[in-house]
Amino acid sequence: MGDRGAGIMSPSDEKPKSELILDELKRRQRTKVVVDVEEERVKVVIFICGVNLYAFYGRDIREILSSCDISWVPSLPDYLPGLINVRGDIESVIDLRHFPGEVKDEGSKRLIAMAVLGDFRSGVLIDSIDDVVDIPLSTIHPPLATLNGAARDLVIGEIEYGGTTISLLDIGKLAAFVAL
Amino acid sequence: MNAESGIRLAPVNGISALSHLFPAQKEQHINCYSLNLLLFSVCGVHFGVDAGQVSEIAVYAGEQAEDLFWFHEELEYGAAAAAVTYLSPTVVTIRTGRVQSYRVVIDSMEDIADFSQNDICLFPALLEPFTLQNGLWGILPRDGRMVLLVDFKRLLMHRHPELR
Repeated sequence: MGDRGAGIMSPSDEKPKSELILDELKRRQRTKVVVDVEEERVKVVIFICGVNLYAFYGRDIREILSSCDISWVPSLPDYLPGLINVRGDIESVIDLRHFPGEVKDEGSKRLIAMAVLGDFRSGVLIDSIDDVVDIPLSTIHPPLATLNGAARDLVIGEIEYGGTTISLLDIGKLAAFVAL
Repeated sequence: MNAESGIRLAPVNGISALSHLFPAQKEQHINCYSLNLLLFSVCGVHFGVDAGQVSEIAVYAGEQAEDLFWFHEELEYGAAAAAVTYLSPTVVTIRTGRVQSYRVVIDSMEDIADFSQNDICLFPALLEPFTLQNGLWGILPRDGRMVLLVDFKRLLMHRHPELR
């Protein structure tokens, strides 16, 4: 019995080929899952300003205000159209169209994206929201070298969206630019 | 003379109509500054000025003088200045502590009333560098509007250093 058992067990010391392959496939699958989890993703808010699409990091946008009266204040530069009252908090508003040099259409109804980054907080006037998406960090490419003017100072990267390349604007750069 | 604000009303025809604007009641605030504000508007923008800075109020009678300034010009209305019209222009004389007076034509006086410092909001940090240099130092949210608080002495220092 002992001899026969030893004889049967002997081949089982080596794993069947199917099990080896199965183990390998499972190991690869686990590795792939780990890779997918580690791929850092960021939320971006894609919006229309003028005739073009732009994006902000979603983490920098606290909320989108659909209807807000802007109180004009004398002596402010053109890119600061005035003040808004957000549930009792008085906030500034920046007209983003001033920077990329977009055409102004005063008649259209616009939205205000409330941007908060560190000590900086302000409403940013935009035309409409197109989408909010999660994208892999690796898909954000460096800004185009051909950008010029104020847009170059605000753009932190380029992303692909809907078959087109759009500029990812940085709230931190906007804050620094406006504060100059 | 209004006892609360210390403003002397000039003996000009029609000025007595302003008397109804003065408040009958005064709110009491504990451990808190209160501010007696003269409220007016120019071209739809609402303003408030510390009534203590105003020594005299008179109806504008069309006079021109070197020490008489139009409010919208003092505050740099910019491109909007072209559309500014005054419906009921009023001349306020500002206490400067100097011999030379500083008189500003304002419009549409609404009220003179006491407000607590707790009613007043700061300008957002982004705007403050622009507003302070033009004498705008605070905001009074009131009846769904934003009343911009202007310090005429700051404005005077910025616009007319020769009158300091």
